Amino acid sequence: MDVLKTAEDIAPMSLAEAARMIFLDPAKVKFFRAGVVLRLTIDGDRSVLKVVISRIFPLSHPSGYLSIRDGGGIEVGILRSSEQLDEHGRKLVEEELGRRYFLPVIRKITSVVERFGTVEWHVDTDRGKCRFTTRDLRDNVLRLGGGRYILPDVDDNRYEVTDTSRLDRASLVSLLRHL
Amino acid sequence: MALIEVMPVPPAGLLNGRGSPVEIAVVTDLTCHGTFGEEWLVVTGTKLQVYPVDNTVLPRIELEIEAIKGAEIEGLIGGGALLITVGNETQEILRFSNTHQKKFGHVARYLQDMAEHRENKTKAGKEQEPPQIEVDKDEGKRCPTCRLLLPEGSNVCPACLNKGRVLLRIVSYLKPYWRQTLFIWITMLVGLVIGLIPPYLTRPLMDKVLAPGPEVAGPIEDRMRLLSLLVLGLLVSQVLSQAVGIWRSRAVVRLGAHLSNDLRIKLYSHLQWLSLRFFQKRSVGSLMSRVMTDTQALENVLVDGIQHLVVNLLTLVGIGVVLFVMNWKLALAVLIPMPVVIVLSRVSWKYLHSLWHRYWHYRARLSATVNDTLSGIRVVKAFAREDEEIARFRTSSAAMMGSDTQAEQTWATFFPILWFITSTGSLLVWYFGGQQVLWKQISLGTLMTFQAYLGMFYGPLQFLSRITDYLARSLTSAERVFEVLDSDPEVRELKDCVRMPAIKGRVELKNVTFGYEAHKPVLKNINLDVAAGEMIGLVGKSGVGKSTAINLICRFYDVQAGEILVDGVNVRDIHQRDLRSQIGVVLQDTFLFNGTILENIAYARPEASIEDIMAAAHAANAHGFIVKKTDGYDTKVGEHGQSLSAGERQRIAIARAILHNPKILILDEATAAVDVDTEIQIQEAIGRLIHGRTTFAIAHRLSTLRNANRLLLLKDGEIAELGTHEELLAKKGEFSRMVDAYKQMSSVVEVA
Repeated sequence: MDVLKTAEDIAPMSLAEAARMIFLDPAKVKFFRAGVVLRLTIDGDRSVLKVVISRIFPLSHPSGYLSIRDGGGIEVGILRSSEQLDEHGRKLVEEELGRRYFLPVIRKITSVVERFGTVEWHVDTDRGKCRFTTRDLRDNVLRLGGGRYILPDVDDNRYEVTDTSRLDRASLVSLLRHL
Repeated sequence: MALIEVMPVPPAGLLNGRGSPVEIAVVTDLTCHGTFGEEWLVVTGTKLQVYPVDNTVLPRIELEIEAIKGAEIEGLIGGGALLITVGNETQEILRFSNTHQKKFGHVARYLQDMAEHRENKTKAGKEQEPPQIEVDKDEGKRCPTCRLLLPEGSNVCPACLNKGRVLLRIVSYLKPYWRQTLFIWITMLVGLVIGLIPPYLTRPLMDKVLAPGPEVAGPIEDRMRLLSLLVLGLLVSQVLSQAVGIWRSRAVVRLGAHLSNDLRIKLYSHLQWLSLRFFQKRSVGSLMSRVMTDTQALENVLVDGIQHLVVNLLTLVGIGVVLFVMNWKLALAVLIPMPVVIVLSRVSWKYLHSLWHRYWHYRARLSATVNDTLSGIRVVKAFAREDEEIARFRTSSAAMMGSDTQAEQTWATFFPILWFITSTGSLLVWYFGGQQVLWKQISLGTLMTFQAYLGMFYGPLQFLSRITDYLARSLTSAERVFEVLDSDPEVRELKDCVRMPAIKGRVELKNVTFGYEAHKPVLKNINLDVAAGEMIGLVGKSGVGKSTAINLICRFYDVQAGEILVDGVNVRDIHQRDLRSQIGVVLQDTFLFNGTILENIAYARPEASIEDIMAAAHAANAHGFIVKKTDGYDTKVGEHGQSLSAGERQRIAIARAILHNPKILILDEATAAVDVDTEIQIQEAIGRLIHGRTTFAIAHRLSTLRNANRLLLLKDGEIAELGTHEELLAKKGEFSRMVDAYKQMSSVVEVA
């Protein structure tokens, strides 16, 4: 028992330290493309031939915390934000994220038709006009607070409403009727 | 404290003239032959005696206290026997049924303690504190006045419940809304007065306009003018009446919504603070119906019920007076059927009450069934029990239908009969009043007005005959709500509890005995001293009390005997929040709330930074699978986290505990659902993190406990072996046998 130290004797270890998380230093990472494949070199450490970037908090903090993984799915490290990267790197990362995350933002709802429990939406999005069908929307919609919603359709596509107060009145009325 | 029973009353002479004061006088319900019969055990400072109930002079058994060497309870099926050792011989003193199990447990313990006390005294020769007999504070589960068995976990006796007091208590909830209430009452009275106007206008309408006698008949123009005036008067009074009505109803709705909201919140917050034992005894469905349905019913009484009651009472009295003033003879005729109505109402009261009660019970059971099955739908499907579940539902549903039908049918029968009997009064008025009109004793207008008022008289009368049933329904709902509100948390917070914002982590168990049911201890006399920062591995077969020990350290339950100390302070004295906020628990059955993974990890520490949350997940080896999900940490975990695998859920729960940053960490089969590799990784991370924190870990997989400083092997609720891994192995006892078995199994797995 005497080998044991009491809690006081031990300097508290921060969670991040204890967990051995790796945060990447934006000054040391260089992204470049080879065809469609994104590559990464960490100065003085190593190169990663195929990089997968994903948002760690895609809904709550979409612009921060990116998980950088290699082709095998092993996390190379976490990037706190793409902002601190150099111009070229940031462009590549944004591009990659744009390719990876397809989440059209609804700008205007042109028509909503309800039939036998399903709802057909005709909308204008930031990626063009489209139509989709939802079912049991009230159960499936993601309510993110602050007038932000994500509507999943029956094919598992998702459509975002970033801020209901920015919608025109007619769109707002037709949206809220089904939420 | 002496244990002398007052219920039933001890036979005369039992307590008197004993020479030395009576310490115990308790009754048993079985004779020495095992048949039902009363016997009394009397213990004084010098003697122990057993008397049959009909003979308080000659004891059946008499022993000198000094001669008693020991006492114990022999547990029999359905009862037990009190055994006492005198010299080398153990004899049966008396028998008792399970009803008295607990009581005689205390008695035997006291006698045993006394015997040991005497022995110590003669051996050591020094005076010690004599043992005390334990007297149950919550004297049984019966009402102290009427001996009725109290509802589970409630101290309210429904029989002794003063209905008036319940009503008064319900009304007390109106206090914060006295302005609105006053407004409603005023509009109600105003409406009542306005309602009296139209019939009053009927008389001049008849006698002066439509059918005047020749002596009062004025010119036709005057009659026309009067007619328009009277109709206008009717119009105005009706418009006013409706306007006031609308105004009042709007206020009522508002008040009602606020009240039921208050009640629901009050009930729910009380539920949150109740001890685990309370929930163990009740189904989620029935508690849900209390929060949802019963509060609604209470609201109805508060807002509608009381209001209607008063309105109708006032109407009844007011119109009664008007009727008597107008024509007392006719008014008497109206009252002829009243006694019958009142008697019938009172009879139907009780009957309908019981019918409704049954209906509510079946309804609650049905919703509990649905809740149960839908929560466990995977099990249902896995065992292909759909048909049986449907059958079960069918039975429950049919039972509800039957009880509903019976209650409604009874109601549908009683109601018209009551109505008919009441309204015979109106027939009597037509007959006697008609006679009086014919004899020109009263005018036609008076009779018509009388009938109009009579019509207004029957409504309230009808309501008041129904009020019994109405109140019965509402009062039971109220009782059910109050039952929850009145049950105290068993694990209580002492008023002068110790604040311990920084626990170091020393945990001591001293003579701890505990059972979920008092007379069946799961843990017996456990003694354990855990230094701060030590890791203790708990091993043993299922059901030996490993999880129970952990429940006690968290103080989900209070120990029955002995004490648990954290940093030398009894857990009962520690501020509950301080204690729990420094204990991190990962339980066998991980529960995730509806919400995102982020919210679930941050549950224990909502103010934690994003990076801390990620770090906690990283440490729990959860980060990897989380970032691979579409929504990352923002992934919603559905009801009970069904979109995640058991291993994933467990890792999130571990992350939650890690983020909580506890001084005492409890892992109850925390890594049972993850594979061995992952477990090793998690253990390493936890190992780094818990360095210097007290840890209790339960695991069947012995490799999980490789980091433990000491291992505790429980057997039959007692400590069988305690020591380091090596010590226990060297002992070649139970533990080394377990290790061998485990090794064998592992090698089999490897070969396979």
